[in-house]
Amino acid sequence: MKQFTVALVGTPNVGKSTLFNGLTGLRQKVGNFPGVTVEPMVGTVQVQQIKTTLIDLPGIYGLTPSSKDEELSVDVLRGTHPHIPQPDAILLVMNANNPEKCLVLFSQLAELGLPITIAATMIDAVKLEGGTFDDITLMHKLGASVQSVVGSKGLGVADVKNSLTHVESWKTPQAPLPKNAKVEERYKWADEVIAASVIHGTPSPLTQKLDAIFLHPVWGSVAFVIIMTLFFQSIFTWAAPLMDGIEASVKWLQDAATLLIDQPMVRSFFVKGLLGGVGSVIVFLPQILILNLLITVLEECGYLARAAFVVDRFMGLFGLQGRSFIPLLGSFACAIPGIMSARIIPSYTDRMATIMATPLMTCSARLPVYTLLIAAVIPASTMFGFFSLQSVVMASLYVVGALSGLLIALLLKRTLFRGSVVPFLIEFPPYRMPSLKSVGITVVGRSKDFLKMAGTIILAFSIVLWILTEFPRTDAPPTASKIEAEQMQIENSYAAQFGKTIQPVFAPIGFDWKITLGVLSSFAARETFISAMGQIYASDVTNDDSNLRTVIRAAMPLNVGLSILAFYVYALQCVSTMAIMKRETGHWRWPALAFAMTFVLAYTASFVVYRAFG
Amino acid sequence: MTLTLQKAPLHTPLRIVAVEGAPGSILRVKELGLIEGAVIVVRRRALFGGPLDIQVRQTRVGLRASDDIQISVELINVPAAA
Repeated sequence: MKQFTVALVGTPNVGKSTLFNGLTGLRQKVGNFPGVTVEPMVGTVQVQQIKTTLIDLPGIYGLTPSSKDEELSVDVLRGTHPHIPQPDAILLVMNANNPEKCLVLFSQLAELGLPITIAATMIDAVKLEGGTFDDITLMHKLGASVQSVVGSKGLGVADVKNSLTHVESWKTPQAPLPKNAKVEERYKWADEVIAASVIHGTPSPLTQKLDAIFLHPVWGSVAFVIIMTLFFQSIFTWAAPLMDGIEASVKWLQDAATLLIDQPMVRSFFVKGLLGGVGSVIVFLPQILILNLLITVLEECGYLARAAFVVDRFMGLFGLQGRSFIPLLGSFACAIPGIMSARIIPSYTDRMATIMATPLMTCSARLPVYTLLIAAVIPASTMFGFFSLQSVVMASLYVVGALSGLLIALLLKRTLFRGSVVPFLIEFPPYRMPSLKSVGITVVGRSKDFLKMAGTIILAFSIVLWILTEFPRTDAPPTASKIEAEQMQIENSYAAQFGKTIQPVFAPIGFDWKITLGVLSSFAARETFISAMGQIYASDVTNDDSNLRTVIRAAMPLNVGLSILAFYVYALQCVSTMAIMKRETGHWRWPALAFAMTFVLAYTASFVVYRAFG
Repeated sequence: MTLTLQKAPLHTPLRIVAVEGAPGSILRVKELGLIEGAVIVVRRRALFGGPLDIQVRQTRVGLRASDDIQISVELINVPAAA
C-alpha cells in the first residue's frame, strides 16, 4: 500500500511544532533532501501497520513568501520544489482562538487542489475564555474535515493520527474565492465563516498583564536585561559541573587507553587523536543543550517575540532589526545554532548582515582560551579595590567582541547589503506554558544535529593535527626522558615545520612558532588551542590547566598574552562555523569574506595591543 | 480626521483607512489583518521611535513604523467627514 506524505502547514504561533512533536514523537529527523539549504523536519506517524510521512513546513501566512523559510513551504506545496516532491495532502493547523488568519491561508491552499484536513488547536483556551467553537458548522462551510486537539495536553492527537493513516478518505475542498482575490476580500470571507461558527470569549487578562511589564518602555528593558543576565548565568553555571564530568570521563578513558594499549603509535592515536578530538566536541554539549533548552522555552512561552520588540530600536542603530537579536544571542554559546536560527529573519540583507556578525559574538569555545590566558598573564589584583582585574578584562573581551560584530553588521548594511529595508513586523503569541515533551523533543533533536555536524569536522581535524604532530617520527636518544622525547618529537614534526614557516607572518604581533602553531591548530575548534599548547609546551603529558598556566606565565610576557587574546576576540577560527555559513548563505564567498575581514581585524588589534603594552 | 499610525493616540479604538507602501512589505501587514476597515488599538510605543504594539482582532503585532509601511487611521467615534 502506498505510504502517503502529508504536509503540516499553519501560520506562525499556532502550536504547529507542538502538534508535530505530539504526532511523531522521536520518530523525526531533519529531512535529508539533497541540495536543500533550509531543511524541514520529517516524521513518521504510525497506527497499527499503516505509516504516513509528515513534513513539518515552516509557518506561512499565504502563498506569497517573504523569507527563505516561507519560500520552501510555498515551493513544496505548489510542487515546484526541485528536490522535495509535492505532498499528497495538507494538515492545516488552526489556532481556534485566532482563526481568521488561518482561514485566509486556507482560502489560498484550497486553490492547490490537494485534500485538506484542519487540526484546530487551543480549543481549551477558547472554552476557558467563555467562547464556543462549532467544528461541525466550520466543516460544512469549508468542505474539509475539522478535528479538535489540545496539543500541549495531547488530547485529540490520537484522532488526528488515525485520520493521518487514512489520507485516501480526505476531502479536497473547493477554493472559496477566485485565485486573484485580494487579502481584504479573503478576510471578508473569513469573517463571514467565523461569524457563523466561532464566538470569541473575553481574552484572559494574563497576557495583557504580563505585556504591561515585558513590553513597557522602561520596565520591559529592565526585564530584558534581567532575563538575559539569568540566561547567560544559567548557561555557564548549570553547564560547568556537566562539563567537568565529561572532561573527567574523557580523561579517565584516556588513562585507561594509555594503560591498555602497548603499541605507542596506536596508543597515541587513540588518546590524543580520537579521544582528545571527540572530547573537545562533547565537552560543549552541555552548553549547547542548555542554550537550546532556554531558547526553546523562551520561544514557546512567548517571550522571545517580546524581546525582539524591546531590542528592535537598539538593533536599528546598527542597521538590523529586532529579530536579528535571536541569532546573535545564540552565538554567545556557539555560532553554529546562532547562524541556523538566522533563518527567521525575512529580509535577505538583514539575514546576511546578521550572519556575518555572529562569529564576533564570544562563543563558549573561546571561554577556555580566555580563562587560561587571563589567569596566566593578568595579575590577580583589584580595580578600585572592588572589581577583580581579571574579571574586568574578561567582561571587556565580551563587550568588545559584541560591539565589533554589530559595527560590522552596520558597515555591511551600508555597503554590500544595502537595498530595501524590510520593516520589523512580528506577531506576539499569547503567553503559555511550554509543553515539556515538545521542548524535550526539540532540544534532543537540535543537540543531535550539533553532535553530528561539529563532531565529524572537528574529529577529522583532530586526526589531521595528530598526524601533523606525530610525524615524521623523531628517534630520541635513549638518555632522553619521556618529556624530552615528546618535546623533540613536536619540534621536528610537520606541524612545527609548518608553524615555523608561517611564523614570520605573525612575528609583528609577537607570536613565536609555538603560539602560531597553537593558533593554527585552533582552526579545528578554538578550544583545541589549550590541548595544542599543552602538547606543544609538553611541560607535562597531561593537559592539566594549572600546570600549563604556570608554564605559560613563565614563558609569556604580558603583551604577548594580550595580543593572543585580541586575536581570539576577532579571528574566525572555526571550520564548523565556516561550513555552516556556507550552507546557510549558499556560497563559499561569504565565509571567505568573513574570514578575511575578521583576520584583518584580529591582526590589527593584536598588533596595536602588542605594541601598546610592549 | 485621518492620522498616521505614529501620531495616533494610545489605547483608543481606531479604524484603518489606508495601508500604503512597498507592495512586498504591505502584503504581510495585510495578511496579519491590518487591512482597510479593520479596527485596531495601539497599545504602546517603544522608546526613541521604536516599534508599536498593535492589537487587531485577536492578533497582537509588533510593527516598526517606517517609510515602507504607511498606515492611516481615523478615530472611530468621529465621523469620517469631520
